[in-house]
This record gives sequence, structure tokens and C-alpha cells, in this order.
Amino acid sequence: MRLNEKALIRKSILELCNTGMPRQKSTDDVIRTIREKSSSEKEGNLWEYIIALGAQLSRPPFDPYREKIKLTTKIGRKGDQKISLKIPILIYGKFDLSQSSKDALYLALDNLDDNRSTIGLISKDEPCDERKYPHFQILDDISKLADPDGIVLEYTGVKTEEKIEKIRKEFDGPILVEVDEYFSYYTAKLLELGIDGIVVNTDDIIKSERYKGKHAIAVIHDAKLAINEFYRGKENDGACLVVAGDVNNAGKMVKAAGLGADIIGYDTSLLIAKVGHYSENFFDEEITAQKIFNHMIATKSELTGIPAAVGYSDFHNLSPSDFRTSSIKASVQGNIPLEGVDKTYRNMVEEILEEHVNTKNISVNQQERQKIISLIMKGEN
Amino acid sequence: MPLPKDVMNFRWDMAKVVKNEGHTADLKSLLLDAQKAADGLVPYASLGAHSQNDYFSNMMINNAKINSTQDYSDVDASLIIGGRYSKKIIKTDVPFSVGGMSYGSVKLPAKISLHLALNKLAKNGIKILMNTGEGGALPWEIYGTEKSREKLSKSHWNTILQFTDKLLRANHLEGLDIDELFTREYPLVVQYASGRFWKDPAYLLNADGIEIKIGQGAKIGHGGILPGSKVTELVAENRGILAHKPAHSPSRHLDILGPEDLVAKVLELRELTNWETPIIVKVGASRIYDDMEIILKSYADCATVDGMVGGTGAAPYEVREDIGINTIASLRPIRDAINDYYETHDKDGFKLVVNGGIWDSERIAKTIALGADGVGIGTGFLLAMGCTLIQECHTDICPAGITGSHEKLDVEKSAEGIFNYIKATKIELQNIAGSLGRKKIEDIEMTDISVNNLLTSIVSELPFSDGSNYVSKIQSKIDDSINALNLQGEKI
Repeated sequence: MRLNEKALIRKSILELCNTGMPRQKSTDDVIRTIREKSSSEKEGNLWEYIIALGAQLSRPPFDPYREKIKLTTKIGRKGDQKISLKIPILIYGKFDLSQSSKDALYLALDNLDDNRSTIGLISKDEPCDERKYPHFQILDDISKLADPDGIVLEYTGVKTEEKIEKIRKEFDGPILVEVDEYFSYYTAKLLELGIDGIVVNTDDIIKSERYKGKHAIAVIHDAKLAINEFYRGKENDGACLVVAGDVNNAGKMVKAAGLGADIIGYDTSLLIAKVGHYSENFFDEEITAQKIFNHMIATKSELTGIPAAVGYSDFHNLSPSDFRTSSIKASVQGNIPLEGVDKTYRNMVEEILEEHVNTKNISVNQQERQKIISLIMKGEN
Repeated sequence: MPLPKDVMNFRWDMAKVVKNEGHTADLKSLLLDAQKAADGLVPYASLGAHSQNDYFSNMMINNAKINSTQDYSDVDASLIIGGRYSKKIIKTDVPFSVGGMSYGSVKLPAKISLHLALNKLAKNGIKILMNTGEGGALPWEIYGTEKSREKLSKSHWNTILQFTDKLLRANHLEGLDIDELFTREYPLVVQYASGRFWKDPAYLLNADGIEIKIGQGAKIGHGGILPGSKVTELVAENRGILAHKPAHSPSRHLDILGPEDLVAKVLELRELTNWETPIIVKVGASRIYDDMEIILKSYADCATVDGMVGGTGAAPYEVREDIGINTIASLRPIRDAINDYYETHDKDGFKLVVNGGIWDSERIAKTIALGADGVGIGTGFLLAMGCTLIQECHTDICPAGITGSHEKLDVEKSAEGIFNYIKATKIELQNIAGSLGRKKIEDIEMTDISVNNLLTSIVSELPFSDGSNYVSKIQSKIDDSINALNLQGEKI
């Protein structure tokens, strides 16, 4: 329920309290009228329509205050080159930072490592020499390869594939590729070339023509599908999906993980580093570092709280079956079951179609059925 | 505690950067980020989740009136809980109850307002059930009947009176009549939660019903929380815990890990109460078909299901917002579980009480039409006492003086508001049922309700006002697609 609706309810209850007599107007009618008028903006942020299924009798929950909930994740497909993160987060975003903001960030990352809360960084900058955290260098030009723990390449077509082959000869660490909206066409090829995972920036991809009108959840769902397609019939040997963009709070991170993200590309720490300049008359590196540190420690607690409540002792056990949605659009885009019926909208339509064509004796073959379903799904997007 | 100025400033500074850079973060999430950056702690929230779709307002009661010139006061609004396995029953005159709001979560004056209002209603012929919440009960709740005081020794009674005196003095309520206070005329259900926040066995023995709380809609799988700032000396003394320390009850009962354990616990409580007291099992709405299946087989008399928008005194923000399903959406799997159970069992007196986002007669009627026997209301009563919805129940700044702060709640005025709220809601409910031609509230059916959108029809199984339903709507979409794709020579 939205806050303005709660205010209406309050007014209505006060009427009952003051008069002790029945009201003249139905409040639900008033709320319905308001909702109908604002229907165009209704389902903008689909994250808000996705919920996790908490554990109770049929599956006991874990207790994040008294039991250990694992967040650790590894990046890398080969045993000797894996990088371990204590929180499945790589700091990554488009904020342009001053050197002092960067120094505050580096200090916070070192402090987090000291606190057994290691997270990584994706950055264009050269890695610091005495860092304690893993640094993934964004590499436009191979000649600029410094001494990173991992590399991120931006996909630019065949040239990227050539680059991967070259880098692989001189670099043992994990290589990630940030993909564009056409990732479903080439992810398998990249994985075949030996990359360790892909990075999808949902903010960028949903701006493309291909994902126009779609939400971050559609991108995550499709990206996971592209990776799974490569591993069809075999076990995933550690290729990861890094999701960046519209995943800037713990709730979204958990939902993204449920949809298939292994690691989150997180930019709020960069925002805090940048704001250090706004909020202080002078920039204090230690204060800003402390804020970044505090924020990440709280986020870490949030990230353990939700899986525990869902019944897992490991964040990475979250799966699509642990989530439901109260939006047909979210069900279609993320292939998430609707709450209350435990089926995706697509599954429901498939079942009704099957029965409908049989009852009415309509002759449509399998391919035509798929076309019908696709058309209906398109209408709901 | 109000947010410090530097946290608010930091939020606005982040908002400036976000705006300049065209970032996607919203103001609410920036406030949480600013809080986390300041103290490194998980932000808390209170009251109910901001679910974007609670379905209630998409449902219409066909041709029903909440206000009528006709007199429908003979419409039966009663509700009976118990009798399936218990020897005793709880009979109330309205199908709604006061949901669990414990002392500590709300302040003493609010608890006393509820107590006085419910007593006054009982004297006026409306008995309504009150749930204590998980934080134990107050002395006059436990020892509010003559029978409950029969076996008390003089010294025990004196100890109870001394504690009562301390409670009243601390809240400047020493003028209250003690005899009147120790008169409870309404039925009381006590919660048996994972925190076991009571120290007097009479808490269980003197109750009219016992509710085993497995979970609640606002924090399913998480366990209860009372922030340290709200654990005053007196709250701590009443609960038998340390003062000024947060009270985190475990996320699960340490002795209830599965279906068999629940059966054992219900039977243990049955033995303890000589099979007399009705036993209820409460869960949050989540994996609800499976949970209901377990409750139905557990020797309980009743299930309480709390939808995700159900309120709370305190919950981690993300847990409140992101876990659990909506109240209306939970009712379809609940009906399925109940129907499946009774396909192989004889009908008995099992009852279903539903909470979460229900606060007025229409929503009560809609919930009952979809299969509930009764409903629980929490936030509605807070609003009746003057809640301003600032949603800071987990802090000490409640401007109405209900959940915290030094603001003084006017007990008499609050009790009057609650009295009127319940009385008027009962009349509205009778008007709804009467105008539908029903003699009992429980006779309101799914055929009396229609919906205005596809999703609500899917999750509720209710029809549209033109008689169509989600299946026929989807069939029309299929026919339209077949025509659009020109898949058949002959158009459908």
C-alpha cells in the first residue's frame, strides 16, 4: 500500500472513531479511482513487485544473529587463478572520482579486507601496489596492462575475441567481459575462448533498442540463460554473471542473485566516496573511508538476513523458485511465478491455450502455439 | 531516535550527485544508504510493507452498502474459535480481533486504552478478542478474572499489585481504579513465540487461547525484535529480560524445526491446559500451501495467516519490504490446502483468521468471502488511537505517544476512539451482509465480489463484474492472437 493510500485510510478510520457510525463512502473505491488515474506510472520499478518466500514450518529459517550465513564467492574457472570475495560485490560504476575520493575508497576496501569482508573493485585506474583487495582493471589497450588481479574487457566485436586470445597467453587471472545488449549471440563464444564471466550493466542495456521498455530483471534473466545455454548438459565450471546498474540496494541484490547473478557490480560506495566532497568543507579521507566501510558492513548484514529468512545458510543458494511476483510484467520479463498461483504467467497461458485449442478443436501446431504465446507475452511487456 | 542532521544532509548531498549524474537511486533508498554510512547498522522500519499491489482496492462487493437506512442489526457477526480439539471455545461478537501488539512495542497507555475500550464494548454486548503479541501480558490481562485470582497467595497478589503500581506511576496513570483495571471481560489470546517473553506460567494457564507464533507477515523467517531503546526497566521486568538491550527472538522455535515438532508442541500445550484451551498456529504468508497443510494436521484449532503488509513494531527494512506474499494472494493456496485436507477428512471446527492490510468493514468482508472465518487488525487500532503514520514505531519519536516518546496519550480519548471504531465497523459489516441478503457475516461468498483487473482475478479466482474471469480473458487473448497471426482460415 502506498503512503497516500494509507493517509486516506487514516482519514476514514478517524471518521469512524469520531462518529461511531457507518461512513458514507467506501475508501477502497476512492483508492481504486486514484490507482486507475495513475495506472501509466504503475509498474515502473519491477523490483518492487518481486518478493522472496520466507521459511517457516515447511522449511526452517536460519538465524543471522546466531548462525553463520555464507556470502563467500570465487571468480575464475580454473583452480589456480580463482579470486575469493567474502561479500559477492565488485565496486563498479560510472561515477568519476577525484584522487582524494579514490584514496578514501582504496582505504575503505583495505579496511574491509582487514575485517574479513573482502570485496573487489573494477576500475580503469592502475591497481595500487600494496592493496589488500582484488582489483579488476578495465583494459582498453593491452599495452596498459599493469598488475591487476583480474581484467575486464568491453565487448567490441571480433576484436575483443582476438584480445582475449592474446591476453590469455600472458595473464593467468580471471577475465570478465562487459557485454552489450546482443550478449545472447556471443556469450557462448566468449566462454569457449576461456573468459571467466560476463558483466551486464542493466542501466546501459535497457537503454538499447533491443531492450526498450524492459526492466533490469529481463536483462539478468536473459544473461543467465545465455550462460546456461553454453553449459547445457554439463556442469558450470565457475563462469560467473556479474550484474551492475540498477542493483543499488540489498533487496535488489538478493533478487538479482535469485534471478541468476553471482556477483553484484555495486556503485553506491562510489557515490559515497564522491559525496565526501559535497558534505564536508574539507575532504577528510578517513571520514569518507569510514562511511564507505560502515555502509558495506550494514549491507553485508542485510545480505545475510534475507537468505537466512528464506532458509539458506549460503547466499548463493537463492534460486528463482524462492521468489514470486505481484506483476504480470515482472513474471513475463523475469520468468518469475505469480504469487498465490505459483506459476509463471507464461505457464498459465500455455495451460489455458492447450485446453482451449483442444476444447474448441482448433488446429494449431507446436510452432504456431509458440507464436501465439509470444504474441500474448509481448502484449504484457 | 530522529535521524541526525548530518545523516539528512548526507542524503541530500547524495541526491544532488545522483541527479547530476542521471543515476537510478531513489530518495528513500538514499536515506537508507545515508543511515548505513553513518552507523554501519541495518536500517529498521515499522508498520506494514509498501507493497505496490495489495489487491483489496481492485475488488468490489457487488451491490453492497456500508451505510444503510435499513436496520440490519440482526445479522449474525459472531465468530467461534476452538472446539476442534479443545474442550472450550472462544466466542466473540465480531469476526475481527485486536492483532498482537505487545507491551514494549506499544506503550502502556495504549495497552490500557485497548483494555478499557474492550471492557466497555463487552459491557455493551460486543465481545472482541485481543491478542497479547509476543512480549508477554500485563498483570491485569493475566489476572483479570476472579477465577484467575482464586489460587493466588496473598504475597503473590501483593507482588502483582506492587508491579502494577510501578507501571501506572511511571505512566502517570495512578488515578486508575485498580478493581476496574483488574476486570477483563473480553477473551484474551496469548502468544507462544520463539522468544518465550514471559516469566509467569499463569500467562499460558489463564489465557482463553494460546497462539503459537511461528512467523509474522512483516518479518517472515526473521524472528521478533524490540530495539534496546524501547526495552525500559519496566518492559524488561515484565518480559524477564535485560533492560536497554535489544530483544531479538530467534528466527525459529528451537524445538519446532518441522511438522512433527509442531504436533509435539501443540500436544504439549494441550496437556498443559488439560485440553481445554483453543490453540492457534500463526504463520506469515509465504510458502503458505505447505505451511497450511502442516497446521491442519497439527491438532491446532485455528490458523492465523499474516500477509506481507501486516504491521510490525520493528523489522529490518529490507526484510519487511522483500519477504512474503500479499494477503489476498495467500488466500487461494490456503483454500486449496483446506479443500485438499477435507477431501479425506470429516469437516470439523477448524478456523482460519487472516491479518495484513485489513482495517475496515469492506476489507473484512472481502477476506471472509475468500475463505477466512475471521480477521485480525493491528494498524487500524493504532490509527484509532491517533497514529500519524510517520512509521517510526521502532524509535522513540511517535508523536501520538503510542509506541514511544514522552508524548502523553490521552487514555480516555483513545479508548473512546477504539470503542467507536469497533462499534461502527460492526454496523458496517452487518449492513454489507444484510444488503447482500445474508443473515450471517460468514455467509458472504466469493460470488458477492468482483474484480477490475486480470492479475487480481488470477490470484483471487474472482470474476470480473461482467461475469468473465481470468481464464476467459486469457482465452480471448488467445483467440485475438490466432486471428492476428492469421493461423486459421476461418476467423475465431
